[in-house]
Amino acid sequence: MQHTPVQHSSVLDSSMQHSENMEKNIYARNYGVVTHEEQNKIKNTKITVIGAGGVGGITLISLARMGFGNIQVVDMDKFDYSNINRQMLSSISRIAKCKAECAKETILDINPNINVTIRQEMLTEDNAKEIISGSDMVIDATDSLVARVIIHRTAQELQIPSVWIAVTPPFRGGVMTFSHETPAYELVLSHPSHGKELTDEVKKEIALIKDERAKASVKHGALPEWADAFINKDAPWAVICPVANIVGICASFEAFKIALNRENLQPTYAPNLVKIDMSQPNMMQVLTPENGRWDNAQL
Amino acid sequence: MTNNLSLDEFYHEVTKKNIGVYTKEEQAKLRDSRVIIFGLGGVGGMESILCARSGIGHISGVDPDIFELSNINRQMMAMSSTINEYKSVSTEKHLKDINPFLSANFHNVRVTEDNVDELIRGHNLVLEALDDMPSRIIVHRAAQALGIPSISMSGSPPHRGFVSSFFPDGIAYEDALNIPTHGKPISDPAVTQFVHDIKKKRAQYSVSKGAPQTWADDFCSGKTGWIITPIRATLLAAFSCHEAIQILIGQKPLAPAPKGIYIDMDNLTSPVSVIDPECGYWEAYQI
Repeated sequence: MQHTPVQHSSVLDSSMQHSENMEKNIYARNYGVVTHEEQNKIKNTKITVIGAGGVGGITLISLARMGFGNIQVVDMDKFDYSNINRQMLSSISRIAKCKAECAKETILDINPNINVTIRQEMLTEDNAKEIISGSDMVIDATDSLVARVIIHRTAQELQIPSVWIAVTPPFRGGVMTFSHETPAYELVLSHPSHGKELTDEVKKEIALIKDERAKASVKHGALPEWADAFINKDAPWAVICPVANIVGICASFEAFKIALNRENLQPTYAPNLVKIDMSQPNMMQVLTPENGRWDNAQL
Repeated sequence: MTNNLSLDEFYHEVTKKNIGVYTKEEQAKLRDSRVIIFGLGGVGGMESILCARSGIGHISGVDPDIFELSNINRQMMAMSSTINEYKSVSTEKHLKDINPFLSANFHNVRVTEDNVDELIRGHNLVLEALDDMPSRIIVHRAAQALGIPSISMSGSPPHRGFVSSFFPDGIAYEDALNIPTHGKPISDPAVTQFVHDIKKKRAQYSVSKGAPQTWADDFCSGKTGWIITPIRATLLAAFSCHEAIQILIGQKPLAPAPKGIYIDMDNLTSPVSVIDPECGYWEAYQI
């Protein structure tokens, strides 16, 4: 794929005119689903996506194709063969290349006028505020349960909406949006870490939830020998292409709804949850938990 | 680029995260599968990527068009750098970068009653991602006659979509969608008229589902195109591909026709579900 340079504000008027015409053409088929005013709103939105893997990759592509004009990508990883089965930004020619760099290359090839910034680092308690502040919304597409706690704690404190996702074997997924008006992430997902300082002990406790999720997957049809191997660290998290990409698209749709803020098309605010199970006739439903909480091990 | 990995080593490395959802035997079935995709736009392009990433061993694609700027908002291979390239050529190149060992056969032609049999023969499954009704009818008729399952889709504004799977011994495409063209050649004036009318009817029906009246009127008078975002196109591709994989590995598909996977992302309680139409068929203009 060709790397196209970003257009800076210093470009000549004629090429500004040219790029505006180009954008009109690129987004021509959006009009009708969105108004011109809404398309401008999307263009002026600043969004941060943390993780450019199975969910983050398609989310970023979808955001760029919808017309989001300011995108920050945070990922420190490099592409590996085991990403190919589902990650839209991965390819053989990108093996061992930085995911965030590749995300930038693809986004600019979709529309060279998008402002893309990348950070090749891990999100921690030390840098979370600096990374997230200044964005209008943040999408959590990481696979670390500890990083997720930090993202949603920080976003809520900064009063920035944050989108949560899950991809769980065999065919399950989840998406919901937090804001400063929703209950906290760790309350909604019944995390024992709620209100606690993130000590090594607490971090370990959070990370263990993933083993519980693997065990619970078996009753939904995941292979029992896989769950055992995962818990023994002999197998990776199993995740297939259609599910990861549906979850990523739904995350981008949450961003779209947050940006438009239409009265009749609100985001799925927690504790309401977009629940995906592609093995069931009700493949995607919006559900409200009975006592206001979900059990993360079961999602 | 594959670091001298053998074909088997490479295949294992790229598909190992599927295992646990699919068994090794099921994954081997995907490796031996041959699919053909008609239409390489918003839905078909994404289907080709999902099939390649899932580890399907052979993919054929059929599309006569080139990429234009207005494809970029939803078509995965449409980039600033691929504008004016043939979709079939760009898609094959893209897929080979996902799996250099992929067996691929891409055709820069429009599907017709004359070439459809030859195109479909030798495949285990057909994915139909075309944007015009006559071609859709041609593809599903041929697939059923040749004894090959075919996945159909359709999408309408603002965020609605429909996916259904057809089988050699099941209901025919035209019956499942209540299209009164059965047995008639595609060139029959009655077929042309029906197809012409249904396009307008679909646009006007979309207004009742949230599309703007001004768009529907402009569409009906030929002033503007069918509106579509990456949300709908990608969801249609992912649900179609899931149906395809279920069939190829010998599991039950969710929506054997007349059952359909119905998508409506503006429905805030049940955005996607499998629906079994009470009367036994769908109305094509409503999906």
